[in-house]
Amino acid sequence: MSATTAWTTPGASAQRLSLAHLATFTRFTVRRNWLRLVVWILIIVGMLAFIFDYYKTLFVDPKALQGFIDTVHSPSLLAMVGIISNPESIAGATWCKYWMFGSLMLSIGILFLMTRNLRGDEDQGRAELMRSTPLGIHSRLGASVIVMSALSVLIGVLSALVLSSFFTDASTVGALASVSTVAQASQGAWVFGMSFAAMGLLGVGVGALVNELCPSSGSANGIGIGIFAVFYLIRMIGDLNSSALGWVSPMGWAQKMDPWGANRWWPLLAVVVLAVVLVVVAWVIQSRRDLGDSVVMRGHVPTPPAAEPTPGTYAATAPKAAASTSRAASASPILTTVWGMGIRLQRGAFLGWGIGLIIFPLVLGTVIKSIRDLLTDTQIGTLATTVDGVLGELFIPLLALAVGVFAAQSATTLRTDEAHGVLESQLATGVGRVSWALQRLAVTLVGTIVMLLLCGVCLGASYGSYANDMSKLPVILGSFLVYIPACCVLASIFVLGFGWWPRFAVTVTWIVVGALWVFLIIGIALKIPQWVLDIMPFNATPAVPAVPMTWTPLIVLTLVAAVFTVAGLIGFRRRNVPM
Amino acid sequence: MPDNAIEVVGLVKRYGSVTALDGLDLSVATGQVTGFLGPNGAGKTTTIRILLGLLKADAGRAQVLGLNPWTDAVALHRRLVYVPGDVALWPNLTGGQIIDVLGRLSGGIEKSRKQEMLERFQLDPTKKTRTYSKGNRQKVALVAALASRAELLLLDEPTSGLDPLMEGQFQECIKQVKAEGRSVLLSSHIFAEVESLADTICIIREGHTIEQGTLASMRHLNRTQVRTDLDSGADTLRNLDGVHDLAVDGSHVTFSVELSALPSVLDRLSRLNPRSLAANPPSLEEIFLSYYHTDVAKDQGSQK
Repeated sequence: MSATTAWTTPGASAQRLSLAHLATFTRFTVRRNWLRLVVWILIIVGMLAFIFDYYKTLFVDPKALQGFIDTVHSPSLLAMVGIISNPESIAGATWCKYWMFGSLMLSIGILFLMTRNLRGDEDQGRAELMRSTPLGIHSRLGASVIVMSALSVLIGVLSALVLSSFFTDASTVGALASVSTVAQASQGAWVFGMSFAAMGLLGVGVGALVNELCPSSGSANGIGIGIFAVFYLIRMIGDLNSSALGWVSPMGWAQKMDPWGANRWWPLLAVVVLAVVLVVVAWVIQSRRDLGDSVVMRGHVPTPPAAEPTPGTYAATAPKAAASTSRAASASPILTTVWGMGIRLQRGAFLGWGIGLIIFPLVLGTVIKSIRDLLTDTQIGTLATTVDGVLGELFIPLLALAVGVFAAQSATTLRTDEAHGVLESQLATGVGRVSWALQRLAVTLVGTIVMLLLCGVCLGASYGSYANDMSKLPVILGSFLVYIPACCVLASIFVLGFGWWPRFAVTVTWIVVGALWVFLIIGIALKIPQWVLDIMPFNATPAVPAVPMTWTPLIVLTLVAAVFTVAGLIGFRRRNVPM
Repeated sequence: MPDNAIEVVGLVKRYGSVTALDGLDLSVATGQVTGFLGPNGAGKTTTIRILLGLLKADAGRAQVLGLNPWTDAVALHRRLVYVPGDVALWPNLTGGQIIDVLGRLSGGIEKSRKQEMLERFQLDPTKKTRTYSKGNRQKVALVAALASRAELLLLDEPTSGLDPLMEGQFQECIKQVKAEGRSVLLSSHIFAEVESLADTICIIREGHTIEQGTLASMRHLNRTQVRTDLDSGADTLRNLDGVHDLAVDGSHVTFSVELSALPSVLDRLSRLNPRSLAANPPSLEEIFLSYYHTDVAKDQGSQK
């Protein structure tokens, strides 16, 4: 070997491709994640089986199915779940009820799993130890892509098998899937399953890319969700206008596989090609970047070599180093308060959510017009037949629930501090536990109110300018603020857990938030009793302006939030820190 | 086999506007232990990460075991092991599981050696790593590294969390590694450890190398500290060549003397009938500090 090739020179840019120990690391990835993988399979496939079975018994009566079909053609469901070519069967109804929701859950779940294994390990410094072994440069990425792609395909195949298992008798497939033979019904089942797989693979591709681009796991997840939100939004506008815009969104491709209808296979190929392209781009970025570094957003560097205050004789070296960096050498007066610190720590989250909660209401505001036009054309539908109905029962709760997720996420930063070992040093100062927690939660509360106001102003202004009717703005603004107690309940559920079961608090909070989404969208199909659905924070909140304002639920929700918070703080005062 | 396990010339690494390495030179001779010293933020960890191919240098040249660490990272990693200063582990796996995963990736771990190291460092491999203290997390990486037979060990403050008993075990192990002809780069703030293990020492500051050489050669450049008790005549020493910082406190006299002048100064001193005499070569700590004092003084001088 000549000496010149062996030396690192600035010109040598890319690392040699390597997938060394890919198999070992793939097994390791499965071992680390097996429980999560199993849970995702059970949730996605299990809910599919459950809903299909439920509709089979529910829609024995054709009248009940006709009522459902009418709902499907209403603009609000069109906006939420898209165009269904074939709703007059059990299979079509299941597709309508579950596909959009289940597939989004799958792709975002896979995005999160990718981040946990890729950028998450880099953030925590665990990737460094692994990469000091003969593990290939690309083996970590490769293993995640393999495991998560396998998960996607497995969920797709299992979904297809579950659906096929309902189509055993040629005499019933007509009612079940509006087709004449078992083979046709099964074909639809496989198209359905593979459309799920396609959405999973989309999660793999997007996950691979954002993990290589972004400087931290938080930003990778945030930007990944943003990408899927854009996919969803484009698809929604396309479906509402029945325009070709739906074809611009990769989510639209998977949707247009259209099981038991057109039964298209080629969109699957298109999604696979896109996923492969995204993974290849991620691959190329990975071979050119430093471990732990980001390509687009510099600033996160593993243990930045900025000057640390060093004692004694080294002190003289500090000022020179500090002068060469733009990082703040001292804290502003605001930052030295607990609440100021809370704001600073969540700056990125505020920014990300803020941008999302400006763009979405702006876009939705323009869509109300399309819905209104649709309403004047066709007076069908049992849901949301007026502008107030669309606002109060669809758009405002949807956006408010997003703010609720923000509130829960913001509250969980209390635990983040504890898990990262920085809570101890804060509590070792003059600040008391309860005071610390309350100041940090005040940031969450104010942030929640600001987000709701943002939504209200943007949705109101957007609708107003489209419909030339600014008089709706204050109504919309008020309708968003009605959701403050419901958002607080979500945050307070975390506080309760944080006080008593800190290690499980974050997981439990997300399970509760996830359950709220599931119940909201398919609660009835899951045979959840109506009274349970009614008392959930976002259902209990009056859907103004669709219905008149009532104060009682708001007072009750506020009390619930207060009780949970106080109980949580009592636990926090009594327990060990850190736990 | 190249003479040097590690050869670094003029290495430069920038993070945005911050220059972490500014023309760093370093060499580790095959079969030797090289101590790597420098204050916090001097660039030790950055250097080691470049040597591992985790970071890409902006300029300069680096060669590890005859390979280019950036492009040949994987081939290189088959032949070296690494212990980071801040060991992060997967909280839901046990220490033993992680040692096995690391060992397996490195091409297999000998069960008996793993067991021997676990016993030496008194690490319970059955516990989930979330229950480990900093020292125990460090032991996981140490056991995995020391159980291997890699040609080169890159150790980044490997004992910063260990107690003195474990520190002793660590030194034993490194002596064994050296006896087997393997090479070690040891970054450390523990002077006693470096003094007892290192054949050569590299001292860096603000991303460039101040001095590299053996401890003996560094001592040669530095003064010996002399303490003595004299009834009279201390002042006659003051004007001798090579004597510095003479201080008299009653009969107690201290001064420092350049190594080259030591014989003649002692000759003169013996004629003053000292009641006690102690002459110590400078410790590594004193050498280290003296380099920084000189540099600090230089910096302050140049700023004026």
